Amino acid sequence: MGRGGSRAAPAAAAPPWHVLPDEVWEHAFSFLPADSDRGAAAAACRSWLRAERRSRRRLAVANCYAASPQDAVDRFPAVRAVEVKGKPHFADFGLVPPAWGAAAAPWVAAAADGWPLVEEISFKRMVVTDDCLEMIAASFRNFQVLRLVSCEGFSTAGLAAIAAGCRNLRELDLQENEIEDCSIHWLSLFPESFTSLVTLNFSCLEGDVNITVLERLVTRCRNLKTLKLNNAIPLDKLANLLRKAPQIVELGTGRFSADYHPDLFSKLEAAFAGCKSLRRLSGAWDAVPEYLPAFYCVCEGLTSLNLSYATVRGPELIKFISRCKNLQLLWVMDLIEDHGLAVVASSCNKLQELRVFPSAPFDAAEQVSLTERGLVDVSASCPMLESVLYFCRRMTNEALITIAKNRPNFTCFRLCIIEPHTPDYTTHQPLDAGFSAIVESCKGLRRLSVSGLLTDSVFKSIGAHADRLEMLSIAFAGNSDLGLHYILSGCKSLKKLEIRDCPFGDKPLLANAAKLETMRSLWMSTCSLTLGACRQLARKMPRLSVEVMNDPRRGCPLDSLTDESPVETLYVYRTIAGPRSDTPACVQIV
Amino acid sequence: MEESSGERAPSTPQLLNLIRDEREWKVIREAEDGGGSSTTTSPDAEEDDYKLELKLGLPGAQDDERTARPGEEMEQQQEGCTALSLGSGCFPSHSKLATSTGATTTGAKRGFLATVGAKAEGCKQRQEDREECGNELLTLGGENMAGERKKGCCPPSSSHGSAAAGPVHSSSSSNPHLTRGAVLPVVGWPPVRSFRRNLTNASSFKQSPEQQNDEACDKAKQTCKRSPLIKINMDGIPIGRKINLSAYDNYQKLSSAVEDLFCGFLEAAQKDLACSGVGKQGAEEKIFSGLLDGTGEYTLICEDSEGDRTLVGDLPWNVFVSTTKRLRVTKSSELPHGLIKTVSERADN
Repeated sequence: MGRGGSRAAPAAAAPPWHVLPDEVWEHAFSFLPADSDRGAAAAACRSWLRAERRSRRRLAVANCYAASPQDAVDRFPAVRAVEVKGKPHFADFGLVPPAWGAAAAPWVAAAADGWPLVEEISFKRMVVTDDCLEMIAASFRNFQVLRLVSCEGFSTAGLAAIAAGCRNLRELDLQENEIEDCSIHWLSLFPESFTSLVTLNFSCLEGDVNITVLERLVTRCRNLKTLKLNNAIPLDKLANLLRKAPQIVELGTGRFSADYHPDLFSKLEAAFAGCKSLRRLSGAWDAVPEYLPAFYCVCEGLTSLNLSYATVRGPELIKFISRCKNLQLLWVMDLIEDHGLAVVASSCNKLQELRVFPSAPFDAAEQVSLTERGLVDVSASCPMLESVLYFCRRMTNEALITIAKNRPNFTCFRLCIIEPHTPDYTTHQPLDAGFSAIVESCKGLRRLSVSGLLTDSVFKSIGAHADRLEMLSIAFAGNSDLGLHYILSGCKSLKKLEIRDCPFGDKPLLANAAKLETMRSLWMSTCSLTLGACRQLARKMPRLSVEVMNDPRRGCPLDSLTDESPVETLYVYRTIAGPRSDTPACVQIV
Repeated sequence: MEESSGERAPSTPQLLNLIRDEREWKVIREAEDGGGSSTTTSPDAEEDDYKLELKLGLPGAQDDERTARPGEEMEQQQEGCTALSLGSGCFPSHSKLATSTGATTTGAKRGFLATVGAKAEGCKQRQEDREECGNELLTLGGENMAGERKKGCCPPSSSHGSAAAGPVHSSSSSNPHLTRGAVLPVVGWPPVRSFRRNLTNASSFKQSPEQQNDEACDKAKQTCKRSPLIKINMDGIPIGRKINLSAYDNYQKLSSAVEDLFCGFLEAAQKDLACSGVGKQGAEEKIFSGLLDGTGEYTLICEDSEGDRTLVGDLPWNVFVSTTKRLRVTKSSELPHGLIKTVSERADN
């Protein structure tokens, strides 16, 4: 190294360890796995900051309003992959006014200007317009990956621009977006010379797709590993596609219903038999039990099975899943019922993630026999289970305590008891004891959703024990301000807190204002907040953006409302960008 | 995080024991705006050990309020049960309770109190829990303003517009047995994505042949037949919305529902215009008037499964609901030729 070593001592002194060229630090930082580690390194000293930020390739902006696009571009000039998330999580359930914001356009514009070498863009819960997609297609020479999750505002015209313009596209991954169908044959716009596709996921598209064009595309993209079709692709076409892409690793089937025909069955069976690399399976809308055996040959190799759209029940379903002995991820509807989960428990011992979705979420009465038993069985027999999302209609403290004892390795535990305020159905107690057991036992818990009848005491436990908890969702729970206070004054690692319909008021919010700056965001809707408290919070904490949302039909501008006015929805997040300027009328920044 | 609110207590206003003096909960019966509120004094066997020590800096008030439900056995519940209300005065929506005959509630954000009856027994055992909870604080602030508060705080929701009769359940059972097919009238609950709703409509829970005679299966099929959400788009607004047609029973209501769906966007777009509050509303009304008769700036068009577009309003309501697959709010100036003729005919009538 010899830098700055003019004072030669007899024993050659090495330069001080920190005096190294930036390139060395950049290389060192490239081994840091997590962005948070890189961020910590950057905070150590100015030279590390310089080295780190100039070499950062991947940037994840968890809240699009936490910083401006220009801030991001200025700070990290060499970014090649950017991910931006917009609306709060409860937007998925219709609690966020549709005109709220989260436009992707400013990010695309800033990227086009400042990051011309960008190769990957991901947007989640943002409004992406066709103009955005056209700009992406036109601005980035080496654009390779487009991932849109839960976005809206674009149509097949935008997809057409991507298909036509992105010569090096490797991944087009559209998950659960609202896509307007303009009857444009966007798939045809991939040029004949285009062969680089590795991932194609258009499962959320509602319209028809030209099957012939799709087949040609699939045939010439020899590296295609992930193909997820939409509901418009019928079963017989699936067989043809599979024959053209036997190297497929992840498959989302199209519509899986058809009248049973032995010919079609054999065709399917043969096609699947050829897919020796298939590991992940999803789709299966309207799956018909008679066709499930066509899958049998791939069951052994499957590590991931998403049947959460498959409204199939009965022995065929269970037999099918029980053959998937290597499953690590299973998403199903509650049609599997307790006895089905018992079979899963005994067959799929490598299970790591289980999600059980409600088949009739808006019905008041119980239609399927899925209770706490199913979850207890799975937790008992699957030693690697660490992530659960479970919708059911009844639960007991005893079951939760058992589950907690069985599986202290949970990192994500989300229980949704469909009817609010449901107590333990055998003892009629609140479920405080059960959830307390979960947080006390599962020391690595990062995400928790609670439900059922709960008092403040469960929040006391959560605040005290859930040291690693990063995201907490609460609905219809608690009795008083104390509940919120326990959470905000505890939960050392809390990043996101979302609350709805709980009797939490102004006091705990104001008392723990400083905590909010250590968190990414706080959502409170239909609680007991007043405008005065929100104003006070905003005054006290200038680096928080305090958004208040009320019914747009109300008419009165927020300025005219008194401090005592109730606040329907509060969304608070830390930001370095100051108040945003794109709020609709129903949202006010206090 | 570590700082405790105890140190801050002096600066936060002490919560006065408003609760002790008047234990009145405004219970608004039939779901009407502000009218007919009856106050019921709920019985309370409140504890005398009314602790005033500050725990975590929050003054304590033990109270055993319950929002009373007319005609229910709530009044017989003598022991203290921790109140379930959200400081009910603040949000009339929460005080709106379905009567035991199941009056329809028009507000969207309600429903959680409907299960209050079921908690009755649970409360008895919760005495012990409450001791451990320490002092509980009930936020009642704003209770007096319940009457003045507009129902505007409940945004109308297209998917739960006029939901079916609120859950009816026998008050004595611990497990609410709700009417089969009744919809839980709470916005965004349970937390599933909206496409799951259409999912259960589309299919009818296919079963293996041997199970198809099962009665449960038939019943499941019946309850599945819920009207789907259909898409509605408006010219100039990239974000589409969804609407449940069976929630309305005539074209007028549909027209105002459409206004509700999109008014938020227009206000965003018009924010730059120098309008006063009144002016903005006026502009809004102008935009959405004449949706049905072709006289307004925009016109409502419906599309059936074959893609044929017609003006909304031509068909009898029931036929319209069953055949329409999509709706569009189109600028009247950009209507397709065939429809313009119909519009002018209609305007002449």
